[in-house]
Amino acid sequence: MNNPIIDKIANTLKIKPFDNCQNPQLSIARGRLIPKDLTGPQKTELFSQRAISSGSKVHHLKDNQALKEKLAEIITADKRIAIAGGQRLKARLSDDPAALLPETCQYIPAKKLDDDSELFNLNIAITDAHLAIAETGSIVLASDENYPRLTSLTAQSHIVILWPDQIVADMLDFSSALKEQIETNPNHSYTIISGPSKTADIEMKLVIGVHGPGQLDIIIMES
Amino acid sequence: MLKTDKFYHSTVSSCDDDSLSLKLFSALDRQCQKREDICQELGDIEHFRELAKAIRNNALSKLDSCLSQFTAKAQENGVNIHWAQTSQQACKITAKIAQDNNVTEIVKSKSMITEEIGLNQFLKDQAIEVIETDLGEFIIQLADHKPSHIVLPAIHLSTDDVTKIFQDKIGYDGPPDPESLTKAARKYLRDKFKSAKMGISGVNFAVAEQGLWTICTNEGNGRYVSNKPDIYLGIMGMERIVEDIDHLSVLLKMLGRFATGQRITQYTNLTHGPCAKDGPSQVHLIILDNGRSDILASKYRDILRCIRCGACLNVCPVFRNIGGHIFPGCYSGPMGSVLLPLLLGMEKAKNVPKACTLCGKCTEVCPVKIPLDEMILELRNDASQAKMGGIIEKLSMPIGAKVMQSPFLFSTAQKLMRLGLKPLSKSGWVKWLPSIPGRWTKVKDLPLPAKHSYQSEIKRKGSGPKDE
Amino acid sequence: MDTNVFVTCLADTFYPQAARSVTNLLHKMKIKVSCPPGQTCCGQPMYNAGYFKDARKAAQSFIDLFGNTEGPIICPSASCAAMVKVHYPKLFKDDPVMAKKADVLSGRIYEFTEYLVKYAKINLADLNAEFNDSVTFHQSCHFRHLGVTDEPMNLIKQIKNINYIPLQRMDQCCGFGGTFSVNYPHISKKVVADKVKCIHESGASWLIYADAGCAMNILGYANKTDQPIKAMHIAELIDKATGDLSC
Ligand code: SF4
Repeated sequence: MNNPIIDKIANTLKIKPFDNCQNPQLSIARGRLIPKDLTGPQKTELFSQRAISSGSKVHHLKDNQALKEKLAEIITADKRIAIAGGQRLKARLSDDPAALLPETCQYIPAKKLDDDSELFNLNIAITDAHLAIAETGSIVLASDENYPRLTSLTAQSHIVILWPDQIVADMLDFSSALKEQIETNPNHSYTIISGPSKTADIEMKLVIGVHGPGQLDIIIMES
Repeated sequence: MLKTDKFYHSTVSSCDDDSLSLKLFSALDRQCQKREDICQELGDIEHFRELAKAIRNNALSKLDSCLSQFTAKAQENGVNIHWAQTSQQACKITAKIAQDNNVTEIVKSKSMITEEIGLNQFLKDQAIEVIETDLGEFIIQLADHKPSHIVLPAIHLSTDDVTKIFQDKIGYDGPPDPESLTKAARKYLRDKFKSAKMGISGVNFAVAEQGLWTICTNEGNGRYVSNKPDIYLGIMGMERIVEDIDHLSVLLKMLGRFATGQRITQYTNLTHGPCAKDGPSQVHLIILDNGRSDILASKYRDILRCIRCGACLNVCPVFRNIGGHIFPGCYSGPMGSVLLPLLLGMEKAKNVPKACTLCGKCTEVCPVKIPLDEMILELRNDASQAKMGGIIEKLSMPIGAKVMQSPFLFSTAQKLMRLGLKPLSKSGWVKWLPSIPGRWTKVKDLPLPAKHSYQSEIKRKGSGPKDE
Repeated sequence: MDTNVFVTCLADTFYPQAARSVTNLLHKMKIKVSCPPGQTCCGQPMYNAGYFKDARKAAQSFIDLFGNTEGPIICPSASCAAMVKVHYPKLFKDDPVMAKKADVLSGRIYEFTEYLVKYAKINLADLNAEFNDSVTFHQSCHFRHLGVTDEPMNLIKQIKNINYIPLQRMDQCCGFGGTFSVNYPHISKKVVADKVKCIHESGASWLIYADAGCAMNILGYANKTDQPIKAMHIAELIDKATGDLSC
């Protein structure tokens, strides 16, 4: 492919190469902030701390019964709810997640969400997570046909259900995991979510819930 | 001493506005504090700065192959790649994508590059409406201002200012507090997110190996523009690339911490290509040169490492008093003082590098170790060599050098200075001087030179201890 | 080893007491010091204005003069020390002969406090330094280029009975910036106004400074606006605090 911009760059770099430009790969491991060999509980602990410090709520739950109770507590009154990643959640919970919802709420199945008026009318989005990062207290979502990324954006509140084995220690562990993911299954885009939507654009005053959800509940299930 | 221009006169009016510096000081002090607090977690900050610098240099040193690899991969992922040599071309490509898809309304997240190329105005002239969706950008778009800071575009406005703007432009009738104003913007923009068929964002970093790119936002508008509409267009400066995803990880650590004092921004979106659902079905990316390849060939290539974190603006003593929206382009503060003369040409920005005390605080803080103050000096030298320094400077500097080369002339000048200033002084201070020195005495008194300079004193008495 | 004092043009002209204090103190420390005659200026004003060619001329004179001396060159100004240490080698990078000379001087120049702490490794307590008043300290910008951080403060804290009050935004520029202050007097004024405000808010009786340029700027503004500040160079403070040492 003939591209004048690339040709120009190539030419410049040939005449004027960068000298003593050290290869960052040599020291990239030193960009690590969280040791790789953290134990499971340590990772979970760090993840929770950091997620809380960036504005998320974290709940540690034992079993499906506890989950059911927690959902009933978070989801008050008559709410419109979407669930993304239902199949995967179902497998891990060995229960249909919709069955764990309080009876008063209204479950919106994914196919209805093709319609914007439904999508933009959600109170709560429940999703699973693809991964979670202890260093930053973040969860990672991958795009799929159940709209995890969109529902968790348009809803007023986002609930994530997570298992400790999904938590990686450092951003660098996240990147190696992602590298593998992309190789095996390239057809996704990703979103790293590190807390509720927020802004400080008016006089640096913090306001939560600008365009995205104003609340992020992260539920960590005991394995 | 310098030839005044529009920028110069704007600095005068900014300085007259005490409320501006008050707002800037409080906002920027906070911003700096947050950065310092969170950067403690990095432990050896210097090591991280070196690493980030190496990562950026690594990509720049093989920019041609990084871009080739990136575009090949992205195309494989289903992305339409467009190259633009100039702003004009980038704007035209954007307009064409919109027109081909019958788009008349575009939602856009905050992006300095679209400011750089004047995209909004261009599209407006083509009857395509662009709606800024970052709260700060939305406010200044309504007010028809330029961003006053590359990360915090509306810090020059108070809550009352914003209330008034909202009342005038979107019929706001709520109370004057940030919370309610934000809610009003949310409501207004939600409708736009729902209806717009096309979204545009800038690009924080592109990753060569995987052909993906990121946008970082706190509000979630970056997610909307890149996930919700059918068509998503990213516009990136050709230098905003890293070789591999590990490098991205490290830079994300730096960007969040240095820009806003966060470990990472609330939302980081990684676009890998179109998605059948849960994302756009059509994805475009414009890679823009607009002078960058010339910068790469120049002695200023280090500025291409910039990750637009704004840390250098936050610490700049000059920026704190004049703010950003008087700069002759969208970039401001130390990074703007380097970039603007390079992007716009020295003639249009020659006074900008002069509005700097050379304190070096920007260089000290920059996460990718760009020697900003040195570049500013270098630019001044370029301007003087191109004879843009103004006549007085041009004449006085060689005379100064002559005096400094001769101890005799120097000591004579010292004596003459005292002789000349003595009659104008009162209790050791000169309060008024004519002409150029008057620019000093207008704001500060000048101390009267000592009766005997140190060197003349030791000539008379020797340099022994005072009791000798 | 013998030392040399580089007075600097501003101290020579406006604040000779700073240079005098440097020599006094070195005498008290039993260090032989000379002040090579015929000094002018390091060339910083032209350099900072972006007139490298003219700066080179002044720098040449400095290099000729001090190139003929031996031992550390001590200078009561962070910005002039930085000029020689950091900028001279760059200024002459295309002239191998001069570059070599510049490199040598770059290794020999010390800012005053840098010399005391890093080279002479002095402890002021050993000299029975004492000062019975409160002081605050303005950290000149060019310490940054020298890699000097807490050294001046640590020296001050070694003085007995001194009440050291840290200055808010202590390392923020005072707004001098050489030609900047006449090119953009209105900006310079606002920057220095904040500095003067912080100095007064510190409540300290004395402002201690390390650069004549900062002093002219800060004190000149304070005087113009009728909020005078008592100030002295850090060399003067240490000279005063160590008294008339008859050992
Ligand atoms: S120059 Fe450095 S500090 Fe300034 S915005 Fe760019 S990366 Fe950040």
